[in-house]
Amino acid sequence: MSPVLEATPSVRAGMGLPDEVLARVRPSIVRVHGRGPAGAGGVAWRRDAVVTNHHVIAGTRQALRVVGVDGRAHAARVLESSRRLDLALLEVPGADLVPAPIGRSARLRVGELVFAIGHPWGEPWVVTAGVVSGLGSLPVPGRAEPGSYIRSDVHLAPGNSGGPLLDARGEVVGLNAMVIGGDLSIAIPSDVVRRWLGEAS
Amino acid sequence: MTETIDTRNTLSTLSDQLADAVEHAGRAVVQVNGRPRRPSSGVVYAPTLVLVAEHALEREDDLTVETETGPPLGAQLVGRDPASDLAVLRVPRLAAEPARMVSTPARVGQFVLAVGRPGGRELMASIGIVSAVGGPVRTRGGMLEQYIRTDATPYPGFSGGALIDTRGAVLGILTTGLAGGAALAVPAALAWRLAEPLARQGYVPRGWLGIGSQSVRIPAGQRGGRAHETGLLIVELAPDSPALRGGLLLGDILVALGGQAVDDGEALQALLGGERVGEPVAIQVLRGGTLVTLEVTVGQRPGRGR
Repeated sequence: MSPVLEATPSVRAGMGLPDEVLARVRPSIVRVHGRGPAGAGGVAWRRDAVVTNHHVIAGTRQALRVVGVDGRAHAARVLESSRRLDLALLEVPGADLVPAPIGRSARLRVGELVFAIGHPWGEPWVVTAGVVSGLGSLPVPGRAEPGSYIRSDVHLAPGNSGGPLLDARGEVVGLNAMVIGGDLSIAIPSDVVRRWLGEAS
Repeated sequence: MTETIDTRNTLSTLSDQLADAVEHAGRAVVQVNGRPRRPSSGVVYAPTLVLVAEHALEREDDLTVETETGPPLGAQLVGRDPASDLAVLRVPRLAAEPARMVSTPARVGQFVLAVGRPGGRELMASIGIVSAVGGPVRTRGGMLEQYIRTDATPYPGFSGGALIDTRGAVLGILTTGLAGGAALAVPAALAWRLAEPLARQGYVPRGWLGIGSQSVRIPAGQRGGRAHETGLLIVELAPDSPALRGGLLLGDILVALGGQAVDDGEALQALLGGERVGEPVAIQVLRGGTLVTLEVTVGQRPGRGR
């Protein structure tokens, strides 16, 4: 299966990311093969490191692989992982990835356009569009305390986990993590990832 | 020569515009606490007056609304109309500026945002298009003249919220309570119009005859000289109803009201607007194959909210 970029046949795709924005961000979006056959998403944070969800790599016994949009596979290992934040940092030695442009999630506004890129149901590099639905803290099933999450109406499916949520400028503002109630998509804010990585935000 | 368009900039501009529209319209969208644990939404349509979803009010007392800041404000139910799933609350201490209504009706295909304040005072939004504009449609409590259908996600608690255009003007009042959970909106012009009698007298006047009927095919030769092939067979007459007082009988086939042909129940409902209440109207029935004209004074539909 060759990696392709395509929009879902939804009316929301009518507001699709322009080609040059996609072309810029595409090399920074990877596919992580860990748990499950479909593979999940990941964002190149550095040339040799990828951020994805903890639940994507949790409990994996087999070797992790990271596949770029060029189809090349790289061996990866977990550097750090947080079950509480559902974040994992993978080291991908020698991959020479293109670090993604990271935006500030604190600047997001309800109603602004957002785009998810991931591999829903194993279909690679699919783009879905929507808006920011909500920004406040949210009690999440299985978590003890409410956390800060971006809620949106982009369509997500298994395989989108760990993939980026982009704003209209094509900057990564969140990491898609789960769906609540069938239609509310939840992303971990980019500022939360920055803080977790010890970066100034 | 090649023409370049800065599509990135265009997309960012559209994105900002959508967020502006939500922010602007959101000032008139309140959280409504009218049932246990599941708040709904409401739209401030006039000073201190809020349109809300009728089905989301499971009690008539102890109602409150909440804006983004400040304490919960006490609200009084002034009227409810199950047919349109609308109710009006009066909130004396509400300072929010009323929402702006669109100047042109919804068009199929136009971009819209659903905006609600479904809990924790937080404003939420989803995007979609106008999927359909239709009506009249039979609803729980009667008939709704017109509706907008959208594919924007109606999150729990969005009923009573606003369906807005990309400039923040209100196209309609959202509800999932009219048609099996589908995201519909009562068009703003209709909602604002229905709000008037709701605020004034607590209900929306709707004409009532007090008959039970079913649409039937009229055999040729029994059409009383008329060309119409169907009519409404009267199978039930409510005690002390306008129809009974006007002389209608079980077995009559109602074929016209006020000079307009009646083929089915929906056509009849559409002809029984609130303006007919208390007014005499000519009703034509086929009785044993003969056309008979009766004068009936239309009554007010009984029901909740009176």
